[in-house]
Amino acid sequence: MLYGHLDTVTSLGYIEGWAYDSDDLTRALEVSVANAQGEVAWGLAHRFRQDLMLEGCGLGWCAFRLRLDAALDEVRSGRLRLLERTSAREIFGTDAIGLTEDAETPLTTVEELVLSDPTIIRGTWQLQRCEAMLMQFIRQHGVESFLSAAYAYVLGRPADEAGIALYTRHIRHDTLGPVAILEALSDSDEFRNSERQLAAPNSPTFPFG
Amino acid sequence: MFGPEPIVLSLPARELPLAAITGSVFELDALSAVPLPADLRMAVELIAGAYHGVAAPIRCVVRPEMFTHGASLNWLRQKLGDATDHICVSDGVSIKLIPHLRNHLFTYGLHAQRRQLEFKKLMRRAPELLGQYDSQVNTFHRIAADGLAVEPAANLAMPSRAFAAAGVWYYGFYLNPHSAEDSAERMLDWGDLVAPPFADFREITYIPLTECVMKDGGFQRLVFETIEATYFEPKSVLLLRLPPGDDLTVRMKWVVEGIRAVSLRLPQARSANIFLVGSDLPEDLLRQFGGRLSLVLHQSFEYWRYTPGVYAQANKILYVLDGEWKRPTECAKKLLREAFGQMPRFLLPVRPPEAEWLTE
Amino acid sequence: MTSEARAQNRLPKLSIDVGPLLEDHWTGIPVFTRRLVQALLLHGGLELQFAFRLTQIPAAAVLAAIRAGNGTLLRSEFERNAGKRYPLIDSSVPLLFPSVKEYFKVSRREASTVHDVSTLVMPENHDKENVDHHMRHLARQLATDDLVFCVSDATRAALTLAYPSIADKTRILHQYVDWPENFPAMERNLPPPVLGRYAAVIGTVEPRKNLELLMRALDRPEIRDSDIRFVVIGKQGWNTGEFMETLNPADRERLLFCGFATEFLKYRLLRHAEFLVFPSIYEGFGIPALEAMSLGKPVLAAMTSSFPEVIGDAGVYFDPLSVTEFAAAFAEISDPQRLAELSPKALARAATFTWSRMAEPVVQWIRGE
Repeated sequence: MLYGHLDTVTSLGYIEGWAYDSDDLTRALEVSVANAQGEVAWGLAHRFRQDLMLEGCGLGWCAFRLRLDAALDEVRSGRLRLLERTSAREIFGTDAIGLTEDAETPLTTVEELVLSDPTIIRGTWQLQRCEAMLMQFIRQHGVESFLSAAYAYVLGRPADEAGIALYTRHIRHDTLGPVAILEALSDSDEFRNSERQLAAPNSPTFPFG
Repeated sequence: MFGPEPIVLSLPARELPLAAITGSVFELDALSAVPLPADLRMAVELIAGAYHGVAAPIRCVVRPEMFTHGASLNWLRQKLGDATDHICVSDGVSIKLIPHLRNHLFTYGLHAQRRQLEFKKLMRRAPELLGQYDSQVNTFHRIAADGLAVEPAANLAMPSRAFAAAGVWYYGFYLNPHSAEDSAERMLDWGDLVAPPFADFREITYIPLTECVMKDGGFQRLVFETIEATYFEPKSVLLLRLPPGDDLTVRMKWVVEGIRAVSLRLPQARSANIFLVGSDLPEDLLRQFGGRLSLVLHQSFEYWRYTPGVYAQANKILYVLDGEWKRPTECAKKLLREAFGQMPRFLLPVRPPEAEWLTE
Repeated sequence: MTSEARAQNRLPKLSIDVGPLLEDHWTGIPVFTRRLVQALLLHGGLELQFAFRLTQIPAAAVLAAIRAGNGTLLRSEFERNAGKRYPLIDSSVPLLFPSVKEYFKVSRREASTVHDVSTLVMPENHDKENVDHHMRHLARQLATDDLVFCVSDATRAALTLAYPSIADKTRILHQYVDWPENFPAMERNLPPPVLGRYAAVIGTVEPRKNLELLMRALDRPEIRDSDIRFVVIGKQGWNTGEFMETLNPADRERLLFCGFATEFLKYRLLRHAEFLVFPSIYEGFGIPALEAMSLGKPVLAAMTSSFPEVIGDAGVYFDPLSVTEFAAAFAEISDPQRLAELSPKALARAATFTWSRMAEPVVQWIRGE
């Protein structure tokens, strides 16, 4: 089942909202926004928004911010429809959409450019809603495979036997879930000293999708 | 040997301070103000001395391997003009070929064990490389594998004048059978710049040691036996040049440990006629020895450190081949006879069974 | 094509050693291997089997790893199943190694792939383990190969210079670029970087990447007086940091390090750059050049190894050891008119490197052509 919403258009010429498939939370929907004249924006609904994560909208990685190919006035007059792009199924429609001042600042440094990369996470807290997805991974591939993938993902190395033994016990006894294990690994000195960046669920290299 | 057509030298890139050179191809003269390791400088001067061309200055190329084919190789060809010969001056770690030129190989610095091992490993791993050289300079490298024997023709490049020699330190030989450290320390303490009274000796034997020979069990035995015999021959003096290196104590210990590995049965007395020397004996000193001089040279010793005259006058020259050889080739005999002005006596010492051989 | 159809058509078989795909993180050779597998699957002219350490691996596991973009799961599954469920390979099927071959005369017909010979011609730029890994068995690898694939003409030229006896049994296997399909969609919806004009630079701490040349050239007037800055894609190493300390503040600000870059960040940086600077002295192929060209970016590259072959007329070249030549080439390529001439050439040139061009030599080998 597809869910979504068109939230607002912005003064810098973007349209924001969210969309996800409740039957496949890991799938990033390719969406389109259309008015009576046709498509005015398109892209992927795969960005992180904390409010979506807290509200339980998908995994929280289902927001979009799409560049408008039409003028703001034209976009705001008339009905707007949010569609899944490949099937043209309508997910949401609205006759009135608000306008907000854009808060996004230009990317004038390399550091800002790096931070704007939507394919990395800022912290494992952004994976809070991914528990079910990770459990599904464990059911499909086994605890040891999950731990191998977790170590490779967070620390960039094979899992050591002590770690496998420790975390296997936690999973089997339900004292730590998979997200908590990722958090524990990222809370280590080894990770903090490594300058590693972790792939987001929307990245092709996210290992648990 | 080379010329009159222009020649080009390739040099080990890691020995060149890249900030001091202007590009991949430059004239040899540009190196005159650049600090180079002494043995590389010597090799370059020998090649320059063996070049009889005036048409164009000698060019140098750094990393000819970068210019693999097509546009890049054409670029290099243009930079090299009408050069016909390429001399690869190699430290043994890698050797270079330039496809459209006659290629010649000059290896230096193989007295150091690590370089010797690297070179031999390279020959094993890429056995077809050596056969693509038209000649080699001052060496007689050969490959024999899978029924194929390759030995590029050997050309000789000897210095026409003596290379500058520093003051020589003499260390009276002493062996403490219980301690290599004590042996080395005492000898270092006794070091003197004043030469022994060479005029008093009937026979002077000079053995320039290298790091390689101190790991060669057969040669170690030869050195030991020579020391043993000289101890009680007051009219003979034995001079052992320490292997080249940076740290004098380490060099001294190499020699001591090499001797102790053979046997501890030497007099525990400071010798009056056996000396370790800290650097090459100056050429004029060797010439003074005249016919009293005997030389024991290992294959890893760079005999081109001296002019031919030093060798021609020697009473005898014993040439010790590296452990992998079974006999000297005709190429080796011809080269060394030309270098020494006399045929040396070749020796293949019997190696003790516990000697370490090179394995992959 | 269904497996039944394959059986009916009796497609010739090929076994590919997918060892490189068992790495956790895919760069260089694992990415090459992935592309080769995908190219051969797209071609459809062979029935592919997969192997590691002469043990068969189920195709489903390999394809899952390719979808995931890493080999962690594949490796852990292999280690779990190798001794129990995965059988020995069929030695009657030709066997292809996308990199070093460590088994000899196992199959009737074997081929390996040589990426570059820098461990032979410039071993001082590698650590000993890497030199040994590539060189220890190379002569035997080449001698027992039915065919030797080289990733470029440059690699072939260098390899056959050292091993002339194999010249007749070499083939070229050129790679191609395949950005993830959704990258353009992601990029179009992000604000463009406002960094001013900049050139992207491929640079890591490896000496042969030659970042030092760029750093030495920073105070050349052609570069100092230009409005173009340099964004280095790669981590700043210890020796880079030391060098940076010697620069004056103005020069230091010209050189920006982004550190480790995700694939998407690299895509963005290239997409918005004026051109790519690739000062490396030696490359087996130089995939970053092709990546830049696929986005319409010309390349400022050394006149060495594979660069002219890959970049062709879509770049400007320089002597990698000459600061003077680098500065002059930089001045040429940074002229907007010259960039406008080169950009379409870059796109056209990149378009000639395709999956079919990569697959064809392998298929021809198997078919005995």
